[in-house]
Amino acid sequence: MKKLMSHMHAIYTYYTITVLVVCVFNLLRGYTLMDITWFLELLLFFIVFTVIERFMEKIRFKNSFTCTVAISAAAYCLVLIFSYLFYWIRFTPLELLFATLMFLIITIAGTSYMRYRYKLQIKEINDLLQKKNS
Amino acid sequence: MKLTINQNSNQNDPEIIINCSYVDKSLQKIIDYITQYTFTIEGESDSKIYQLPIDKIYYIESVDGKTYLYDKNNSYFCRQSLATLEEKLKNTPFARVSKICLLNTSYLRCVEPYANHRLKAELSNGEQIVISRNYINDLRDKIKA
Repeated sequence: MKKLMSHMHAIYTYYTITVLVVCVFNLLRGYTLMDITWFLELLLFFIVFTVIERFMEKIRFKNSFTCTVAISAAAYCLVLIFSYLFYWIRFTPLELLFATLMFLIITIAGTSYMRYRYKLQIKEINDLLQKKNS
Repeated sequence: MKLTINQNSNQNDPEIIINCSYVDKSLQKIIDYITQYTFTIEGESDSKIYQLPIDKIYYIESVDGKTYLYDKNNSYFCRQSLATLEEKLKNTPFARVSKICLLNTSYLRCVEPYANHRLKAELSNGEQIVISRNYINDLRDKIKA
């Protein structure tokens, strides 16, 4: 439960960003209707991805960048699997291009926000330590 | 709070007596702080058994199911499990920083980023410990406390 709770913030951050980006893309393409089941499928996607990420944490990556790239690649593969299973996209070159573009925007926005929060956490701990040791 | 220190050359071991009507939060903190100086953990090294004061221990690690205590320069085998020690050290500066490690925050110098949203802690003896992301908030709360 504790492990799940530590991922909760990341899950709802990425979930919100994904919903926003997909809604904007759909509106731009003229689609105004969205199936309610899609929201549940998306939630399932994030739960499955959290489990995969937990296993990936055991791998010793050279640095944070390699780690981010590996996790993003795993997420992209999972997006394709979910797209195939739940008919999120038609597998045409144009649809794939749109999906990849959306994925990149979501990944960059999500990763940037999480990195910002992570740096804030580090700064807070170091400030507390400095205060304590002075 | 009134503080009285009685210095007496005939007194062998220092003795602390707290007179109060009830133990409030701030007093409990003082008691916890003092307790860590009276608390020792048994550690073995080179077939010798040592009673290690907890304020001398930098971190406690579990390796292959065995618990080891680390002070500035040495390591000691401990017969108690990490979970038992975690429970015993609940009110001390020790904080769980990963599945396998309890860290004495008194010796924590700084933290820096590490792969996959984990942290690398630098101790005052130069050693580095990896902090799992599940325990970052616990560590922060412990330092705050």
